[in-house]
Amino acid sequence: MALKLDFIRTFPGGPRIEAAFQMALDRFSITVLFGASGCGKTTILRSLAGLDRPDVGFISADEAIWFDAQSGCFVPPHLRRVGYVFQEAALFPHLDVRGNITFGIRRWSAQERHARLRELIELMGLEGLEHRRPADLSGGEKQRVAMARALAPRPRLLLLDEPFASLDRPAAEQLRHGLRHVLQAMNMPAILVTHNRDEALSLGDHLLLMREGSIRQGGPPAEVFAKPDSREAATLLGFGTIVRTRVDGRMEGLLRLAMGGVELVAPDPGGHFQEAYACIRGEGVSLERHASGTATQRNRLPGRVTALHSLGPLTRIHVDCGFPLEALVTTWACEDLALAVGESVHAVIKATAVVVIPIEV
Amino acid sequence: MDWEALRLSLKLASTSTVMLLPVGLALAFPLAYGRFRGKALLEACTTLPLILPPTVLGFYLIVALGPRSPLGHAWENLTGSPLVFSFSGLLLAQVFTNLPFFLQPLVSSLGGVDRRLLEVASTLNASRTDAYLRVALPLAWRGLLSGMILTFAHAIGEFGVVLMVGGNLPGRTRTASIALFDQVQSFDMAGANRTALLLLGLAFTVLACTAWLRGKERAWR
Repeated sequence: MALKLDFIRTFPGGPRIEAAFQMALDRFSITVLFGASGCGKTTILRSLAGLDRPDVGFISADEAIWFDAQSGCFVPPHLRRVGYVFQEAALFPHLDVRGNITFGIRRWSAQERHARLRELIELMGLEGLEHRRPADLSGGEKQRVAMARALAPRPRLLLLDEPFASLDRPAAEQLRHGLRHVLQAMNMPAILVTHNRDEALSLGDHLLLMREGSIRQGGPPAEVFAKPDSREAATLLGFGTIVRTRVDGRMEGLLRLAMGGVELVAPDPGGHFQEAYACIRGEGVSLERHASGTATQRNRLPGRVTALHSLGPLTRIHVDCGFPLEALVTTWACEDLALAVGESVHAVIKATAVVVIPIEV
Repeated sequence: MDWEALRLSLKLASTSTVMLLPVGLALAFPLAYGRFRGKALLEACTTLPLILPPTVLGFYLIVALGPRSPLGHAWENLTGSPLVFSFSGLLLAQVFTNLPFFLQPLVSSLGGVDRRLLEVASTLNASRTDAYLRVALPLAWRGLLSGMILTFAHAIGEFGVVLMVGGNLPGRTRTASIALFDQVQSFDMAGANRTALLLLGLAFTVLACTAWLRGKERAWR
């Protein structure tokens, strides 16, 4: 009981998209396809749904072959039993909420159809909206109707293409919390396409990191986020600071890294290499105004503030301390320290907050 | 006033509109959404009646429907009467002549339907035909309606093809537009004036209706 795929889709004069993975279809789990826009995530979803046709390879679900380039086999979308939720809800404007939800189950008996409608209305919190037209719904309501519509015929797989991207933040968060619960209740396997880190971390059971048309890394989301295996993956996963460093020494599982005349201590990932990228999350950096603490404290670097960007509750601060370092501190702490451009600060970096990616020669 | 001719015109126009409906719906789908070899050819064929002189069209229709043609021959064997110079022959000629008037607004409306809606439908157990009938057509209903109205109006006004294929048989193939021609030929200018005014009013009303529908369509999106 699994979905298996291995295919290539080439666009004339455009990108080449490659995908190869498998996932279980007999139980609830959310696989997240994570990557920047334009890296081919949507093409993979469309190929799975049968809305797009790869050039090479195959797609199979359980025993059925959905696509096989060699034999020319291609199962059209309406025979695949795959639900699809688009970024913009794409509701049928000529039908009301009820008509939209029951579109895929129009051939069920009236009784079954009604029962299923009731169930989905309750599950997606759409009570009282049955007879509204899509034009009279809010963005969040539209997306909930789109999900109910996709789930109604009990598909064997649900595909979600950035379903929260067009929503404002509170609506997106509310829907996100509900989604995992709903899919779990229905024991529905799903693939979610997103470029939002919070979404990937809070919703995914498995994460596939995509870059430039192919899947580069896979695993549990927290693990992939903690241990990117390439510089590009680190950029994608939101490491604010990525610098090239030279290995100066090794001791007890720790590395001494040198760059721009300063030294940084970080966990040793093992292996023989002379150069490496040091990747640091903004959250792993704290700033101090005066040289308090112990002088021997490791990874304590003097520097100068070069820029401040307010992100609401958080402030991103760029510090020049021999290399450009990005720190993410609460706006409250930032005000407390009276930080401003040009001020000198001390940056304290937890050794465990530094991820080392070896540069193979 | 030749009421019999007017009655015949209305009957011919409404019957040919109804007959055109299934043919047009079947052709509009590949024209709007199809990607196949020979699409340009199909487009050209269905648009041809728009620019071809009606006499040319009429001539070929006589050839195609005449007793010597396979179609005309089969019809004569089946019904015992010839297809040309009959109401049925006129009907067939009208269906072909009016194809572009029916198809153009419909195909353009169908082209304006968001393709994603059709994709969504296909992921909800809808075959291509299902998606066409249940999503595309309901959303393009204004194009369908204006196509039908235009067909009806043009069928009433058609002169050349009707004269060529149908001749000028009172009560059978003499429509209002041909009656007007006869009235002018016999210097019945007062009668001609009434017939012309009536046809003008009809055409104007119909066009005003379609223009209004088109305006509505823009507001819908």
